Amino acid sequence: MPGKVSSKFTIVKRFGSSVIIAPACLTILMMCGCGGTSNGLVVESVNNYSLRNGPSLSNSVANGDGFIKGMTVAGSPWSLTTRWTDLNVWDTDFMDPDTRQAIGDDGANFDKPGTAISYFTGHGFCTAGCSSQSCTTTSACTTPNAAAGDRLPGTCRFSPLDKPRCCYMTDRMAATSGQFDANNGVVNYTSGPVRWGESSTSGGWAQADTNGGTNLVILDISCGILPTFWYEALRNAAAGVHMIGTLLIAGGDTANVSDRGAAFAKMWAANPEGSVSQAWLDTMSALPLSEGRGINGYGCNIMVAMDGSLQAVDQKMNESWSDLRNDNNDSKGNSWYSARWQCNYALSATDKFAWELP
Amino acid sequence: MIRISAFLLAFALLLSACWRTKVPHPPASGAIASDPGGTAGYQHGLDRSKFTVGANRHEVSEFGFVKVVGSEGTFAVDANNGLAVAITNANSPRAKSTRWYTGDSTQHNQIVKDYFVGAGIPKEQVGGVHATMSLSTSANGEQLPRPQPGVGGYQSILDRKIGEVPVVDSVAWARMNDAGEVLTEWVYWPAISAKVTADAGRMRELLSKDADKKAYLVKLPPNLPAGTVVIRHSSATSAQPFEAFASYDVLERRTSPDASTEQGPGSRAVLIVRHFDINGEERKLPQERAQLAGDYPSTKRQPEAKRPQK
Repeated sequence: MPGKVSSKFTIVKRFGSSVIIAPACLTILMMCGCGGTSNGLVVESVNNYSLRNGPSLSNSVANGDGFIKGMTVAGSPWSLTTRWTDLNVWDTDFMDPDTRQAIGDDGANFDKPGTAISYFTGHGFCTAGCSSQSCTTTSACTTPNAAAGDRLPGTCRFSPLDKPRCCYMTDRMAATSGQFDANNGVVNYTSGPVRWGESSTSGGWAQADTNGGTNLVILDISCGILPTFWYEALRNAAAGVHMIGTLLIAGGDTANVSDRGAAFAKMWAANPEGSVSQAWLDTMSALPLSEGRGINGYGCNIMVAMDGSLQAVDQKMNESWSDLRNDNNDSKGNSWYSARWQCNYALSATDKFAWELP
Repeated sequence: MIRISAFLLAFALLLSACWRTKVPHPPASGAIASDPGGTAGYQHGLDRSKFTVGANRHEVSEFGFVKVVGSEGTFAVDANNGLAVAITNANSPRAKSTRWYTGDSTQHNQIVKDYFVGAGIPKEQVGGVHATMSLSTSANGEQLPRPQPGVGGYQSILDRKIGEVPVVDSVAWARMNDAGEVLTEWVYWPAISAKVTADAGRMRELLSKDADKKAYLVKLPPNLPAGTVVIRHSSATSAQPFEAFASYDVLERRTSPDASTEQGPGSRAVLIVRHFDINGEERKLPQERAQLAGDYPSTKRQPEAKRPQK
């Protein structure tokens, strides 16, 4: 029982003051030699979808708060700068007023300067862009249903639940139900007024000024990305942010679980020199099987980095948590990408392709 | 000059305080005893782990974990609940490899199962082994056709059971390379009390008899789908006092009660796992109850001020 477990750790209490001193010393030593770092946390969580985009959820706030609690333990280098929940989460929080559409206030919310990690947990929209046309090759998928919002490129997509069929690019969107939503609670990060991470160190190449600053975005939502459009779905939003992590669905949907955020935070606490991207992927394996490892059906945790060169995206994908805080690592472009996944199923030994027949 | 000297003195004192810090040792591997009639758990430790921390090995206590830290990675044990986590450093060549295992998932599952059972997880408590798959790709965004992702390896996850009852929140998983080394692992396998074990048995028996099942189900909210008897306990991530209970877990599908409120593109539905104890009372796990008080900052800028003035 836990009593037995905790008895092994009474020594922690015995040396409690020393245990507190050690991280404090480490933090001070780190602060002495560094500049240009971001350590802020922005967490926006929505259970209450009573105004629009329902039904309501039950675990988003616990999920976001679990992340906050895990990241702000004693001695932590992270600090909470923003926590918005439910009706206080507005679609404008995610939008950049310096884009052509001139809407939003992300610089005071999701993309606040000094932010290391921005975490949103709530609904996403799952328009799949799939037709009924069966296929054996992607080159056959050339007729998107424009009226439904589909467009090229196409893909001959399959999953453990679906035989190969033509699917097309569709915008990916998060959903809010805010008291002052300006766009019906729709945050279109694929082609909407969304730019994340633009800063003085990234430069203004994304044409959204340099007044953002987040280094990592987590979109803990339904259908954050659908295969195989990881680049197309996120390129618009990648304006200096090091990486964007979300969920890729391959048949089913994201499960609204209470401890994905906390599991991600535990990975940091266990080893701050570990890989941030791998930590997001590994949260999948830490979640219960009965809850699909965080996915109802089949899907993956995915992390995508974008920058101006292959070397730069590979560097980002191997960032430790302290590298993540370093604003000198802000992306200088988004023409290259690196993506990694961890999926809740395994391909058979004879499968050569994951989601697409080329 | 005096100010610089004072600063240096303060800095030296601080450093000496750091060096004098005594760090508790992470626990060794072994069984976690339960009360009589209960089910033992397993504490994973570095002594039976196939994880290598590397050179310059030392012990650290930080962020709620007691750790063994080395040049290659860290083996950490949660001081609150015994969760054992080993993670390779991001700058380690082993972490940067994009292909670390060349066998298939079935082979990896067997290797990981043998490893954990050999370390001390009771074989009879292993309910199944499932693999998650790792893939990666890099390219220029304009490149067509897109390069196909390559499989790097697998994570194999042991699920737990006591008798025939799944213990949903207990997890042991590892990612191993071709050399049989652990690259990452996560083990949380707490002891389960006699009461919880007995309640689970009673619930299974109760739900196997039509009359008793009917009497039980009438206590639950109406129109729920059929559920499953499981044991639930605090997540490895929970910092709250440990809780465990036998549960009738139901996967409920919810859609918006009024389709007209479903604005935005596409329709949405959610699946929610609900837990009911042996008395039919709905329960929430500690990790599901986690909630901070109040938004931060306490007030939010009004939309008039938020709107861009262009």
